[in-house]
Amino acid sequence: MTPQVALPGVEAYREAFESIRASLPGERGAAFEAFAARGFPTNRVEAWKYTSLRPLARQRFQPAAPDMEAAVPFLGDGPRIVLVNGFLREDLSTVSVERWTGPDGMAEADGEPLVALNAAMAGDGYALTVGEVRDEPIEIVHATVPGPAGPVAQSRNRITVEPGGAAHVIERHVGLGSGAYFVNGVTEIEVRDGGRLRHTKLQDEGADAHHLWFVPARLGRDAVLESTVFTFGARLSRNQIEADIPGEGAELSLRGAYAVSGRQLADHTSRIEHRAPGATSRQVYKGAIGGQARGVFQGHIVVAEGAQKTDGHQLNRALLLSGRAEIDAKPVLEIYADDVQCSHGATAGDIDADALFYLRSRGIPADAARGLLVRAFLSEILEDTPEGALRTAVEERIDGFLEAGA
Amino acid sequence: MSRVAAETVEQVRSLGDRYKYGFVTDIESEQAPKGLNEDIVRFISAIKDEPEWLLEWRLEAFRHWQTMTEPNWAKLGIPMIDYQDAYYYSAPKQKEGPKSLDEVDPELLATYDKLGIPLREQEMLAGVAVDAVFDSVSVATTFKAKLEEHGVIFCPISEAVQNHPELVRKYLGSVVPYTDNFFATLNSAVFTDGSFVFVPKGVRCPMELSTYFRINAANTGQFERTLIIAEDSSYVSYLEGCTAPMRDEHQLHAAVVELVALDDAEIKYSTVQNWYPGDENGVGGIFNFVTKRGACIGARSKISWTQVETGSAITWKYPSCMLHGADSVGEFYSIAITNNYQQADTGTKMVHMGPRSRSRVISKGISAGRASNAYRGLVKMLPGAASARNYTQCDSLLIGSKCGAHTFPYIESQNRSARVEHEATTSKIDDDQLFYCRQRGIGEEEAVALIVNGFCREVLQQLPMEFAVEAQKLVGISLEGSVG
Repeated sequence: MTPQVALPGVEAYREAFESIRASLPGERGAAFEAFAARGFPTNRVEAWKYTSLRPLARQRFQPAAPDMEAAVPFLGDGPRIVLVNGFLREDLSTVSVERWTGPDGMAEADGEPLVALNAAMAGDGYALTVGEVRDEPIEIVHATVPGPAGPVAQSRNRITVEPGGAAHVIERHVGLGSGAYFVNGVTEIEVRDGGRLRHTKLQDEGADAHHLWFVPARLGRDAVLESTVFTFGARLSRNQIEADIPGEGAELSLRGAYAVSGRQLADHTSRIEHRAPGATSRQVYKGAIGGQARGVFQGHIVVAEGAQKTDGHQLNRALLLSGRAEIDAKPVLEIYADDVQCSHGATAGDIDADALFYLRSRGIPADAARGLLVRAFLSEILEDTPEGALRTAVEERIDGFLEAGA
Repeated sequence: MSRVAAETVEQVRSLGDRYKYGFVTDIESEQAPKGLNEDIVRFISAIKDEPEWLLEWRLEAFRHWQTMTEPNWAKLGIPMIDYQDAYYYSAPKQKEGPKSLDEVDPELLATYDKLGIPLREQEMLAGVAVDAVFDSVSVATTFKAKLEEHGVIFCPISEAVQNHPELVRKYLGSVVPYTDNFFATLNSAVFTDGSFVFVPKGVRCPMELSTYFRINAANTGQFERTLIIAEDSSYVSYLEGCTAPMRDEHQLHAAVVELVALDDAEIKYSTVQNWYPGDENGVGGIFNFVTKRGACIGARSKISWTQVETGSAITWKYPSCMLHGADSVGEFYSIAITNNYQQADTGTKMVHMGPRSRSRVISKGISAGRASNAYRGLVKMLPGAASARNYTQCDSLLIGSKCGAHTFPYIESQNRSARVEHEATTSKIDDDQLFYCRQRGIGEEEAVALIVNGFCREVLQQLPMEFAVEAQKLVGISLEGSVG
């Protein structure tokens, strides 16, 4: 690698890192140096071709501190885990979980520079282990309080589903109040042999937030992971899932719906590595993009040598709702085994003119008809979300998006 | 001694002892000394008696090239290439300046016959004009007179530089500038020959234009430069076919093809590429780093690329369309077959700028043995591409468990009214189909060839007749040894 004079963001973060280093559990120097060696990725890095972190790297953020005053809204009265500014709030949580206690686990610091930054600076996080079948969804709230210094909240979390365990975990990301802040988090997911996890993420950060979340996942034999993400908030957001499937017969489903407008950028990046025979992966991402917003989808399926009978499919569809909206998609297949069924599809364009005409010819005004079609388009991702607070919350956000005249 | 050879010797003398190792003139070729520097660029330009502006252009390209590094983003393992360890100019031996085929070196003609390029037969039967390139210098051009009648110019580019400098100067580098990419820049500095086609306004080229490229002398990089210009409402179909004999050392090939289509013009460019792919252990074979790009400048213009890529050890090639014109059309039909240790990273770029521009991409990749076959494509809708349309389909077929098939599509849309659709699949040969064929007494290899031909049919049928037959055979031959 060619040495660069000033890597974006490094010096400011070094200062911040040194200021909190003593309070962090574990030894973090190596992780920070792994970040410092590369800095914030630029557009020249292939994985960040479409999402520029330049403005983020220029901004100065202070490490967020625990906030004991924050009023956190909940979806319901079910079991919950609450984190504020990246710190676990046991007083607000109703599920007893372990704290994350220092660097280990799957998200190694030598991968993405931002994961290394998280590994260096994360001060807290939850570690949830599911050993039995849990019927009631567990709500996990990641709340961040913006502040004048622009806090950076970095938590490191882990969900483990033991053999025979099953659960539905809802991770919500919210900003409490207006102002800039930066969330750089990691949730590691491990579903062991025969375990089942439904993981739903509702990203509803503040309008000036930057949200980067990295989800390394591992699926054991016959494990099932269904992960769905709804993205509405943040000025810039990236949800990056890297699923490793070493388990035969595992089933992975990744779904996403996003609605962005103004100058938002929503990036959904996934990488699925099939390393064992007979596993299945399904991906469906749908986005409605208005204003001058941008949608980014990068999906990567790898089928390693020997992962025969792999069944991997990927679909990405985007609706461009305004003249200045933009979508960039890169669905990649990388296949080293012959007995496989893999495909991807991508579409981009405006609302279907024929469908619009059909509705208008039946007396439905243009705006309402468009709204109806956008709702229908996104609702595919909502299909398997049962009636309840989560579904209502997502629907309200879609309505809000449409009412704002995206 | 031929005129070219005499010139070569004269050049050496005039350049003095800088070339102390002289030229290898022993067997069949006249060669410039090994290596690449400004003097070699000047030498190539001088031997071709080029005007000052072209020499300057070459030198600018060369200087720019020295600041560049080889691209490494493709999914290819490219061995280190020593650009100083190659010859940048070699001319085939000619006994006399040929006025007709009879005067062409019979040894050359015999080689062509082996390759299945019967010049005479083609001249008489197929009605195809062949501008055969043998190691960088065109030796025979047929049907010239007939084309001239229609006002079509079809000649080696070096001839075009002499006879039509205004056209060459206007269009050379207009689609692929000399700064474009490492290999195109190298080509701009040292290109030795290639074809030039100019179809004037309203003319429908009366025959398919065809060129056979062939790499012959060991260690000779081929740097062809092709420029095709179709004026308003004209049509031309251009065929390019390549074969190369067995050899062990890697050979570098960095061609540039530029197409320009003005209002209502249509250019159809077909390629069958069957260069030496290396042996079954991956030893030897051609490195094929090609920059092909067409500009649909005019309204309602159309450029269609069809390629059958079965040869070369490494293929790096992305025939592209720049759709400037309103209602312009770009097409890309491709079959890429890799076997043994071959590597291919190929695809297209469709850049939509004009309103209602349309593009269609059909790519079929077949990977066997230990080969790696990647489709890499870009579809870009710029803000001006109102109501533009793209449809892309790339299918990959895997034969054997040691090969790889990859798809890297890039889809970028900045226009809401533009529609982009992309589909890709990867699978293996259907066992049922194979069983069906076997059950009817068709051998396994033959059955695979049959099924693969069916898989590629959409692309094969885009080829002109003469090529389609050859290409179908090629599909079967390329996969020999991949089953069983």
